[in-house]
Amino acid sequence: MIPRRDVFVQYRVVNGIKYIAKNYKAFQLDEVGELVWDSIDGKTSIEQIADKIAEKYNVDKAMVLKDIQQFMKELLENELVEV
Amino acid sequence: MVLDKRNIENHPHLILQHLKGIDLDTSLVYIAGSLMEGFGNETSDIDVYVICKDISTDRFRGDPSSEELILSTQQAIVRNIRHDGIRYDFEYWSWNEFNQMIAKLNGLDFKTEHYIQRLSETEFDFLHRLKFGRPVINKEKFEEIYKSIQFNNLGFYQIVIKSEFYAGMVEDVQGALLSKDLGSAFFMARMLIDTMVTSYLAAYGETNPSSKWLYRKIIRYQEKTGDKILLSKYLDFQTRPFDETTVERYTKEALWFCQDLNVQVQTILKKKQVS
Repeated sequence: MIPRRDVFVQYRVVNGIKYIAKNYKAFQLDEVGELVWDSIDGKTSIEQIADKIAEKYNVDKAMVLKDIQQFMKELLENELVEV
Repeated sequence: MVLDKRNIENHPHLILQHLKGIDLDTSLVYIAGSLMEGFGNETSDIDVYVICKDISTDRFRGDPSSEELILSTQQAIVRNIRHDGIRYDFEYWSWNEFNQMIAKLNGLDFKTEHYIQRLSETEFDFLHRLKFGRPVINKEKFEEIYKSIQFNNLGFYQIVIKSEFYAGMVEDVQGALLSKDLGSAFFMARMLIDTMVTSYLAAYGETNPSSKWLYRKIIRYQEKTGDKILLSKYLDFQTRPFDETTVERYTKEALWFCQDLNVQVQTILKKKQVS
């Protein structure tokens, strides 16, 4: 699956914390969420994103992939990404 | 001999001859503006800044051999002179105003959940010009002050201000597309690109606030970073014709292009905020 950010999503950093927002709803990103969001570019698959994060934190890729799939589901439900 | 205006600081007498009545020992005199930034051309004015104790207009009686015009603004006095075929803009600022602007820039707090303190357009422009200033007299004093100024705050300031504007504009584009006002969406998308590219360049220290120098800023960014994609994409987006059958696609591509730049800009801003 290759996700892409929804075209109208906004992205701001306030006091060191990154937020994504759409239609007056804002979502705070944690460190991993931020890495995932920054990697969603319409060219990178979620498997590749999982590889990147597993390597960075030296953790099991299958576990990371599962977490990213869950995160992606939430992003899709809130129309923050499209696939 | 033809004078190369870019090296005018090597000919201080050409500047100082117009500063009779100014106590030079207690003043700063420096040249700034597009010529010093490397953007100017043969027709550009020479912008001279004089920081002095007293800026009342009656101190600036002109040389009868010069054509001149004196304007008084809220914070400064501006004197336009044409002498020997060269146009000079002398701006006289008080030490008080000068020090206040520097203190304001140095004191900007980017680690906040609230709106940051605002610089007026005049203040921002003045401080940006100072970044490229070259002293004519009192060089040591100038260097000492120059080193105390947080010029990189200009870039972060521009990012924050443009980010606020950008957020509002994205909502406007969304509204225009949803209501099928495609012409407005097209024009707004172009404005959005200019805003985002300006913000992105500010992250790389390109803080000239005048939109007329956008191309020159992109070229200098390209020389610094080796990135040629920015200019090619910018030109592609800004030269595509308006076509009702493709405008929706065009607007979305423009928004994605801006989003990608914004991700990089916000990451740079975050580093500043958590540093």
